[in-house]
Amino acid sequence: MTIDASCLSGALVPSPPWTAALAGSFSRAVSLLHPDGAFVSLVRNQADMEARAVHLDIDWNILTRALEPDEGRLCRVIRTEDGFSFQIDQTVTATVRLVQQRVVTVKSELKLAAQYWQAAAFRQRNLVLNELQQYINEEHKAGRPFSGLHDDTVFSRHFRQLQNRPDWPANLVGFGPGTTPAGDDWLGGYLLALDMNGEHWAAAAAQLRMEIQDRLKRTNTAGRTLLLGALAGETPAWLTSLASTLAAQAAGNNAESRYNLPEQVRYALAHGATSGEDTLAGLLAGLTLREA
Amino acid sequence: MKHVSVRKDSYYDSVFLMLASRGVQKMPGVKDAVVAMATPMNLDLLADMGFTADSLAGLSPNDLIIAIDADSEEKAKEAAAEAEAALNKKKDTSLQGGGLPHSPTLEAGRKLLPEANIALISVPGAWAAREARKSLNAGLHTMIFSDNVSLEDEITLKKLAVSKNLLLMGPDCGTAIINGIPLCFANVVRRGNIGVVAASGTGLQEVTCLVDRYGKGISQAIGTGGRDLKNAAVGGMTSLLAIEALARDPETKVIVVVSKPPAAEVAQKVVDALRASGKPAVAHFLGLAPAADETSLAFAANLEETARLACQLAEAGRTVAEARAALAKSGGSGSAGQPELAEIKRMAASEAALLGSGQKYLRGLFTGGTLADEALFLAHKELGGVYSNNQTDKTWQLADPFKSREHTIVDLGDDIFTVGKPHPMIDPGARAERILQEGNDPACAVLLLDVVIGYGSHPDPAGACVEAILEARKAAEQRGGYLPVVASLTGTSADPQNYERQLALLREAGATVLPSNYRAALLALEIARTASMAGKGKDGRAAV
Repeated sequence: MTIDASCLSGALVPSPPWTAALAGSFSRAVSLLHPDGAFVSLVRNQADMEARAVHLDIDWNILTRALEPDEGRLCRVIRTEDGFSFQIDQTVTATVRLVQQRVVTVKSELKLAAQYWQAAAFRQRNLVLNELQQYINEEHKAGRPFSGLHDDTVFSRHFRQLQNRPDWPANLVGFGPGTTPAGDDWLGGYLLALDMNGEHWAAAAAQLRMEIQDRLKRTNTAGRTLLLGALAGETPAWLTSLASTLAAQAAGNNAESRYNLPEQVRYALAHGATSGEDTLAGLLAGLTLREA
Repeated sequence: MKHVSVRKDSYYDSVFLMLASRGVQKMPGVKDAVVAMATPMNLDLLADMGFTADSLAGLSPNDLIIAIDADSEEKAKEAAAEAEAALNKKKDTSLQGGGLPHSPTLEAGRKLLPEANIALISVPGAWAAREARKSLNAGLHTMIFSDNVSLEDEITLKKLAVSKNLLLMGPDCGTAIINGIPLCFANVVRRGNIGVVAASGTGLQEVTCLVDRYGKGISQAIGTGGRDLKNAAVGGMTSLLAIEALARDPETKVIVVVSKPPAAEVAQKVVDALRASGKPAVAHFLGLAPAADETSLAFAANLEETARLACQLAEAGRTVAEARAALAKSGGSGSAGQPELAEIKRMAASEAALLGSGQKYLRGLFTGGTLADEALFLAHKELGGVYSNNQTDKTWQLADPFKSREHTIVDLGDDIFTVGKPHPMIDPGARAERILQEGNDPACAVLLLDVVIGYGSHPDPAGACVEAILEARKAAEQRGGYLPVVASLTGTSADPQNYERQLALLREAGATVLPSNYRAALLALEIARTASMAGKGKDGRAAV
């Protein structure tokens, strides 16, 4: 079967050609283990795009059928210059011929968000941060589990200790519960916050990026994939969108954003068991730094 | 005593890891439990906790580690085994709770139960079509509980099913009663001679429970999935086959069709099929004005009337006109003691008289989509406009479904409320929160609730709202007002939660429980209408 499709690639998706083996299949994404040691994900919805994700404009069922994840079978994706070939045990199950290819970057959107955030009055920023925290609290009241780093567990107790060490917060790389370690999620949010805070925080952000880069081997493949995006300033689409809403709301530039924020918080919190929560915790910690 | 076990190069869903970890932490004798990836930072943490270097040696960040600190070696091993079991759950082929055989694939399941002639598919949507195809090709009637199946797949599967003369219920089919067995969200109703075809889950539950309450029973209740009648391309393939099957079924004497608003051409096909069935039939299309009755085909105006007409027609030899006459003779109160319309107006006036100044809006908080729609269609027409997340008219759609505006009815089972959370019929916590929210709104004049019991639902859905109802009423009283709470209860005495027990809980909390969703909606909208229209006295009380 050959299908024509258009393709969106995140900014850090390796250039073709490459071959990657199927690592995991989920309802919203298929994870492929690229030879460079990080995942490339095929995502079902554009809303789930991230730095190392690819969205193909084809029926998701065709894609998942082409990579039927039965045990003991080797599923691979071969990326050529012109498209994708899906294989199970050397048999080609589907070929996607790309009629259009586009690389997406969120840098300009984040830059604009940072400008709005920095231009907003102190009081407005505080109001927005309080509102964000309030929506998170409401979700907790409604039964959402607490952050992987903030519940009363051995991890949360150790998290508090780590804050007193000189290598904080880089020491969070690979730390905590979750398939993507919670510390990596936290750092993703925190780095974005430092970038939004403006030039006074640029040196701290650069220093932290260097420290994280040095520690990438200390986390697993999922954590490394996430951090590579964070290091490059290429945050996932849902987090970019949330940051834009916070900034626009603080700057009073978008009346509509008021209604979007609770929905975006809920969407964010729906990522992983506590990944969304940990990311927002890092974001809040970083944005609050500026206010302090 | 410390115990470590490792799974090399293992990836599990984070939610799965969290559940395994929390389950073990609650076990008696367990001091601490860590289920996490073996990254250096996590290994450092474990070393700090006193786990030996030997037990942590040679691990890589892609390994999963289960580390238990317990009072004794026995407890530690027990907890580790529990965590392993939780992680293995999906692969477990042994007997599960309740003694039901469990198999990892459809093929293995067929070997365990070769006489089975129906399969229920409940896997992530992306895989459901493939499993359903396997099932149909194996000659099994198939119910797809999963949603997120593409329209294209649904059409292909239904064509395949029709070609094999097999029923394909779904996708997104949550309710059916086949040969007396409730499947997914369904109730324990008595067997009888009324067959139901429904393109709506809680609509099917409401009708079958009311039939049971009126003393009749169900031969088969066949769910079709929401798109079967709504989407012209699907064309009602399952509904038409189901009607044909019920027409042939000697145990079925009356056929009932219930659906959310269907595509016009599909509705016509269904009506033609009911005419051709040769059996008395009742059709109810929510949101559409009922057509004129025919000799053997009645068009009902609501779910309650659907059930009542079906019960009347189930008496041998009765025509639709005779069934209507019998209903009229009973003054609309039927055999279940439901209040007549005049009585509902009296009840509404007496409740509205207690309201405080500024209380004028209806707030409906529903867990069942069809029940929400039934109340919405009725209230929207009678109150001159109701905001809802289920509204198709953009003017009346809620900008923020989490906040009510004037008269509001929300379907809390809508996707917007359930991202990453259980459906409110399974976990009513979100509704309890919303009850409190409405109770704190001085403009709220009446709360309208549905409580749906049966298999699949929360073990105590009424109990889960009681505290919130009491608090909401208290808040209104503290403001000098009063908050009427009107509820319907869909279920039967034989349901696991027990209808009477749930009824007593709601009444103890001060709720007025009406015997059908239709009548509950009538009472609530009458209270709101009276509150909105009545002038206010000097003391702020409504003058009635």
